[in-house]
Amino acid sequence: MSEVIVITSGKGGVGKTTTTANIGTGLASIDSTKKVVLIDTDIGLRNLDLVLGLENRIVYDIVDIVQGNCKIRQALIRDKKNENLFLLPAAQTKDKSSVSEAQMQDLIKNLREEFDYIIIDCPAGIEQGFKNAIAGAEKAIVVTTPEIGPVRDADRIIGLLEANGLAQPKLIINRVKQNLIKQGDMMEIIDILEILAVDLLGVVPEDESIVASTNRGEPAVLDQNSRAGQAYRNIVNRMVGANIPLMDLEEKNSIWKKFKDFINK
Amino acid sequence: MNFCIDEKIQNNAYLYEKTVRSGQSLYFSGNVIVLGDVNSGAIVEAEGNIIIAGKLSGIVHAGINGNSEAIVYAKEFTPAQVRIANLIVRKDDSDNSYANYPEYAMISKDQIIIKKYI
Repeated sequence: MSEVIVITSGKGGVGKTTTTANIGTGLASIDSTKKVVLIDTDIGLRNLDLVLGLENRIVYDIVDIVQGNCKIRQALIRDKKNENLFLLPAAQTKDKSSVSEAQMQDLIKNLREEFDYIIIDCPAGIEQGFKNAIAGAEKAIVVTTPEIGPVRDADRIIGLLEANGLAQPKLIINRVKQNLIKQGDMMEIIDILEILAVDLLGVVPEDESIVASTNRGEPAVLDQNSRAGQAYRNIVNRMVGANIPLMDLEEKNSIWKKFKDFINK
Repeated sequence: MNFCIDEKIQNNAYLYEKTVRSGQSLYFSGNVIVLGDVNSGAIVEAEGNIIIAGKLSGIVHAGINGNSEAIVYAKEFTPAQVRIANLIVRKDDSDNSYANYPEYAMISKDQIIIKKYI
């Protein structure tokens, strides 16, 4: 029985594509018997191929499939490291109206026969691209950052998801800066949960190493030293049913902080 | 095989005077000359040859109707993929080096080869 999960946010730039790449890579690497496909539905502004480092391998894309130019199998690109992870790229030179909701549903029905996890990377916005992305999904993950704009957009998205039969989406709060929260300059996790009233799937700390790993095309989830990577590993484990507490978001204690703590005792 | 690129540029050419940006595509039934760059995410397709005066980072497809005599030239040659007729090559993932001289791609013995342009 395959799971079809859409990753969405409303707001752009909060980390949907990074989250998709990390969750997909994580799911594929914890259980090599499960086949995972990541679908980029951001037609015209595709990025998922870059984050996975697969850009040079794209010959056919999702628009070629729905237009009948190629078979599904021809458009799927196998990941460099994980044999059981595949990417279905978006087209870059077309626009969102090149695919309809019915065509998406049909495509996902076909992918279900082969894949255990189908993860859909949704474009920003609430227009046709969003409608396509959620058309074939049965679960949703909403990504937000602890800022008022993204949280309001996440609220709007949760409303739209519920109206389209995707009740109880899960929430990922990305790019959390614990030091700003402590100073009272960033929204508290608990405040966000109060506004959005959905289950929290995970909290990902701001991590500079994710910039480097994204630019290299190697998802941080594989990097044992990355804090964001650890957060994504926790999220993936929760998705497969493990009960893992939220990670400690405190910056690793520096000598200076230990010294201050000592003085304050 | 020895040839001069000038011979290959016939009258039937489309001159594009700007940079082809991500998401844009060019198609022409003859030769295409791009005076700018071809950026990552852009695609240039031609039934004839493709000449790029700037940097090639995107995808090019020369001889798209099966003309295996077609060539692709760029001043800076770092494409994601080069397709000529029905053949395709892609950049090696580990190869981040690029030459600081012009190069061109052509078909030789049923495969695409990339050579230094004098």
